[in-house]
Amino acid sequence: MTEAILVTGASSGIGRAIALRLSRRTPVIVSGRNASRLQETVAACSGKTFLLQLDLTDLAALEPVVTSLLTEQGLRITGFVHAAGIVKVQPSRMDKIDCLAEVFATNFFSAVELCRILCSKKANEKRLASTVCISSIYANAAASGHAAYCASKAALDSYMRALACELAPARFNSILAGGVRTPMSKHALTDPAIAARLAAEYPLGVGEPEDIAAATDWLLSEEARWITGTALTVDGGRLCRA
Amino acid sequence: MHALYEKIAEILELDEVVDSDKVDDLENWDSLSVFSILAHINTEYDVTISTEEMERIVTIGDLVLIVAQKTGNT
Repeated sequence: MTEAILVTGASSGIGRAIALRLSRRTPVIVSGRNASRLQETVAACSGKTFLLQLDLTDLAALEPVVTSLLTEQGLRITGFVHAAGIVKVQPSRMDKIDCLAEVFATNFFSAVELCRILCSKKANEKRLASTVCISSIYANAAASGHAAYCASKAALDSYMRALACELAPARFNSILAGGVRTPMSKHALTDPAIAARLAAEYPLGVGEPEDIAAATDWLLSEEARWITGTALTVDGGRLCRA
Repeated sequence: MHALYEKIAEILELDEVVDSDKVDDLENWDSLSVFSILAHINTEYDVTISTEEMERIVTIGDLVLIVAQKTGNT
């Protein structure tokens, strides 16, 4: 059996940076919706890499798809990184349940379902040892127009803490990521007015996906073996500014 | 562009918007609504409208025209 780390949201941005970094030291399963962009990630990875095309909003399909890959490739997943996430910016008066459900399915419920599958004896022989979910500083700080996103990330942090207590010695942590340069944010960051505002808000400036990847790699590793149930802030000092 | 008019109206809680509507006269035209409209345009049309461009917009028609021009739908 080959031990591997599963990374969701690996087709671009933070997820891709994490997959690339982890692939230097371990086999990686890169997961995402867009097959062609996933192929680009696979091509950029260093070691043995497996591609898993997944629509995380199709929750019922996750178990059969993941189980098939593990069986066919002789894999067991010992590390899990949930980097997939979507943002819907809209006034809270537009937050109807079906709209919230879409955000929660990708950002939260899919992580819950994947944790359940990977912790099971049947699918993965209970081999999951360490999980890191990419959360956001907006889990703890308000942002107008982001109510669903904020709530979904806060749910993720809380769920990691609960699993850390219930499923030890498996470890569950999250990262409260600040603003980084990704395809999702690059349009805004090219606007001089927005770039100037962010420069003033971030003592260390806006981050790069690799900054989140480095923290994720460390949290997954044995060096962090006594850390569980923690939400680690990686935000260039954004939250410490009054 | 019909869908864009509908989305703008939905965000602003209006039955409809038309080209001649002056944005500063629309009751819910505030920073959050503007941010939401720009995010929608970015996601659905892959169009970025800068802060500078927004400052020059007077009517709904001006906004839709920018999107149309940037998507080649003029």
